[in-house]
Amino acid sequence: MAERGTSSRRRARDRLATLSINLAGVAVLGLIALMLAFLVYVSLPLAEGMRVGEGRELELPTTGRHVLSQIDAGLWQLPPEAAVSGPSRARRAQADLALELFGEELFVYELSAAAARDPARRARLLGSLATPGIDPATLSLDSAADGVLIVYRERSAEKTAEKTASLQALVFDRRAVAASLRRWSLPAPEMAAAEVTAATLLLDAPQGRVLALRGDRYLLWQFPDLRLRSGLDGAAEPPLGAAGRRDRAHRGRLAGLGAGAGPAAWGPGRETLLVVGGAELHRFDVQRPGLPRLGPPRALPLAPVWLHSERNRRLTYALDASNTLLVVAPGTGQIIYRGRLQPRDPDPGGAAPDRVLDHRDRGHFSLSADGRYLSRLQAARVTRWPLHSGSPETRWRSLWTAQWFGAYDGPTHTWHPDGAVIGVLSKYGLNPLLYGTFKAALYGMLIALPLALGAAIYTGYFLAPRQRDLVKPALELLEAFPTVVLGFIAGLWLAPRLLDYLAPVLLLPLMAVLLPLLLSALHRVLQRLSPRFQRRPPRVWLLGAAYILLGGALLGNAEPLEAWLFQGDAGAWLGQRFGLRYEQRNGLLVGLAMGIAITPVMFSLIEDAIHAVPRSLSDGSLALGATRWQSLGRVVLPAASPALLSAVLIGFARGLGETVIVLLATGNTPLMRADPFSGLRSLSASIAIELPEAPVGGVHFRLLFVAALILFLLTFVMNTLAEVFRQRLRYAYAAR
Amino acid sequence: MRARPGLPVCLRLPLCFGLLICLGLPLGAARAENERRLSGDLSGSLNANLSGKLVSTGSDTLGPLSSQWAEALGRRYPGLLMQVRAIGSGAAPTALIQGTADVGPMSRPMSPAEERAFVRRFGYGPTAVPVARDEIAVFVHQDNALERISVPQLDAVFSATRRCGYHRSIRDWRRLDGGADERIDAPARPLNAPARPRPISLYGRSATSGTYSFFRSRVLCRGDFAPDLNRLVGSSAVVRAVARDPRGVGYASAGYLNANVKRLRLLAADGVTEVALSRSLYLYINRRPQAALEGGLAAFLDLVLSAEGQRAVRRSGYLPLSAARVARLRESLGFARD
Repeated sequence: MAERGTSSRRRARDRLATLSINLAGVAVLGLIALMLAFLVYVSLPLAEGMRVGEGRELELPTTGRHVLSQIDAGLWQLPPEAAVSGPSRARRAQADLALELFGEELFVYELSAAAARDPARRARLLGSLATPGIDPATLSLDSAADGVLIVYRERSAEKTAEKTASLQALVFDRRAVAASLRRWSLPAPEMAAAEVTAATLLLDAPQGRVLALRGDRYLLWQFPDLRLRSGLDGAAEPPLGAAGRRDRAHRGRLAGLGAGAGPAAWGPGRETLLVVGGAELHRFDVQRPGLPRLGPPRALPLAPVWLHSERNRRLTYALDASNTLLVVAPGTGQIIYRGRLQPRDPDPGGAAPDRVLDHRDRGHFSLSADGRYLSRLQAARVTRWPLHSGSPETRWRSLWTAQWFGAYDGPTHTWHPDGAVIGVLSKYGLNPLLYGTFKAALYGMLIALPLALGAAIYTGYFLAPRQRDLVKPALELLEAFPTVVLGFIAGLWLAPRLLDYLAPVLLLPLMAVLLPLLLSALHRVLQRLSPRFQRRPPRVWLLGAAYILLGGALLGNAEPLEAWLFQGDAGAWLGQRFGLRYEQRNGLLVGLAMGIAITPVMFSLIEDAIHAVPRSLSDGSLALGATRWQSLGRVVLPAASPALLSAVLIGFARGLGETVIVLLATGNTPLMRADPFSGLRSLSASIAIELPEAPVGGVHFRLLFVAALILFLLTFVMNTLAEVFRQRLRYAYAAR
Repeated sequence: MRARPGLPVCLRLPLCFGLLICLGLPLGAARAENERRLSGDLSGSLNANLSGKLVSTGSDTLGPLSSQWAEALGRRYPGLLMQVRAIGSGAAPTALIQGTADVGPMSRPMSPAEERAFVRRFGYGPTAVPVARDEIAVFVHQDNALERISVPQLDAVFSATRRCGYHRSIRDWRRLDGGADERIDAPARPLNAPARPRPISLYGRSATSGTYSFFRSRVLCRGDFAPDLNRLVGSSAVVRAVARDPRGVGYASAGYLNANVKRLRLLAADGVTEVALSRSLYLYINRRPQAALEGGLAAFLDLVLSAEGQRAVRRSGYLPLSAARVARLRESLGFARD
């Protein structure tokens, strides 16, 4: 009776154990799937394309006279001092500005959203200025958070001076004590009046730039007086480097552009100039003198008549004569959206067309500052198309292709994600990060593999069991060493010393190869000389002592060595001889720290595998007359090779995912250089540095999750492969 | 055949997850505690019996100074505990929005995007209190012969874009006057031998820091840093790295400089007038419009904008605010005259 009771209890306990183990296993798989799903869930909105909604007509608040254009203003950015006194002023940010030309006088109104209930009070006059001889067809404007920059040509100039056109620039500054309109004349020394009339005028209020473009000829004015603060830049003070630079106007020709140039616009973020010519999109650098071309032109599938770019995303919108909208990323030439605007052909009736100041019959198109609406002003009516987009400018391809950004010397893979703080566009190229990740892991492997393999062979095959039981746990304890400490030691202590001892460090690998050869040659000579050496093979400790002695001698004489071999400066010698730049925080340093971190894992795996090869196999080969080295090389290592491979894979995966060492030991430089003396930046370190400051839900935030997904997949695949190899070894010897 | 020691994979992973969860729990608890605290433990006017906890998260530059203020606050109100986390200015807006910090020290003004995020969460803007001025210094190794550098040159040294208009990028000390092989310990070279390359190593702060953005917008004309800028964690790491690298140049808050590095004089684009890179340092707080500051936060700001607080500013190597400015700020925050 009692026996049956215990056995049933045992059975119940067994069942419970099975159940809990199974549950745990399923839970693990579920957790992995959940994590993967979360990573995908966060990063998926990046893949979202663009949708354009149906156009809606809006009623434009009218002042009873002609409304020229409505301007979408950004958020009113207050200086921090002002914010202390209370946020009431910030409300005015929501108000739009409207301009109105009545006869030869220009009015600026504020269209207040707050006073929506009282239509009579919706438009508040902010200022007016007489503009004698204004040619309405040449009037262009650009808005910033602080106000508007307006440029027009004086018609009267035609009569007085044939040769010179007088362009007038008006600045309306909301932030001035009394919101006011100010006027400047833009000298246009060598552009004839007729040319200015026909030229495309591009304005940039935040930079105080005006560009007149006709065919491939341009005239560029840059005046600090015209500068207005945009809502996008955080820095209240102008750059120091530009201070003291004199106002200027210069002219030239755009290279490689035929005379038949089409519409032109600033590029995204106003970093470039985009010109359509011959059904192709040409990019020019507006931040370098002479406006050099940026790469070859990109073919366009339609003939645009209107072109506009977003301020804070790398997107350019083009419209053709039949209102087909094309959204393109000019840097990569990738087409993001193409489709007709709906409704197809809005009724042009309504107000009399002659009352509309815009000379184009198609209406005046504009893009809102936040890129959420495309609107058209036609006959005092506004049609608005909502643009639904996740982050269409960041496509899978744009992450991995080299792009030629404005002000750069050529196409580059650039990771510079931190532009939003100072109001410029970020640059997201994941290539340097992936490159750095692999570089760090590879240099780590270069150090770890010989160390781990040598140590494992020695402990697993040659060492007596009692010594092995001491050595193995001791080496495995190294794994418990925190990587933060390793990173700190490498970054703060080793980095400067590596530079001091560069000459011996460069010589050490050479010594590692040469020393055994030298010693064996010495042994040969000694064998010839005396019969005593024929019997006794050289001891291992002798070799070790020779290594330590020579290594110490090299390290102890760093300075004389450097003076003798490298003319006193090993870093400069590297640069002169191989064109390498020696960086204090480099791949070699990371390799050393990482190698120490990876070695214990790899040692443990390889040692186990070597030890697991049945003694009978190597005994058999020894009995057949093989030496121990032969038996090791021909029998034991081949038998353990799957485990070797798996150890390499696991070590590599560990190196890919390593964060703290890379974070602290490198300078986090997103470079793509393979040599051991340049720095790197890894995916994992970027996640660690940037995730805390990336705005939640933004492109940068999601891209970091993409980086995490890539890391996850990489290590997942490698670890799985490694596990498969290990299982294979286990089964191969299970029968014996 | 010997069994491999260690746990099978199916057990190792749950252990890891368990560890992660254990790490996550305290964070959640801290959050909950924070919310409890915000709900009114600290109500009441300023008095010596104030108690509770204040958390400051943000600028690394302001870190030592914040710690000094926190210490002084502890002396004034023994029951008030202040915790200072110096991560980088970028961390302050996030912490204020999430409510995990009461004070967000920043070495730059909040960006419009950060301000918008704050407004979205609370319906009103954050309040910035300027508390000190800081000077950014550009420095080289003490053996470097270079004495001064113009801002466009500095842009050509540090940037990949040269938006300030220098005609070519500078990657070698030989391109800067006085930067030729003039190390005292370098062996004399024959007169007609070409100068050896001395590539410049760049050191700066990581992108979370306000110093990084400040340098970028004021010195690089909003251009991009060269990819080989070593982005180090912390100002003192930058100073230490340059002190050990004869070819290094770096920038950091002037308060962190020591005798092992040599500060360069900065010249404007004309190459004659000397310029200084100075900026305001702020404490950002979450203050409901027109509401009076209360409890520990009021006590802290009162201390910062007092003679004692501004003395700490000078001790830390920063420039204190003018007395008039302090008075104005005190008035706007509703404090009595100091």
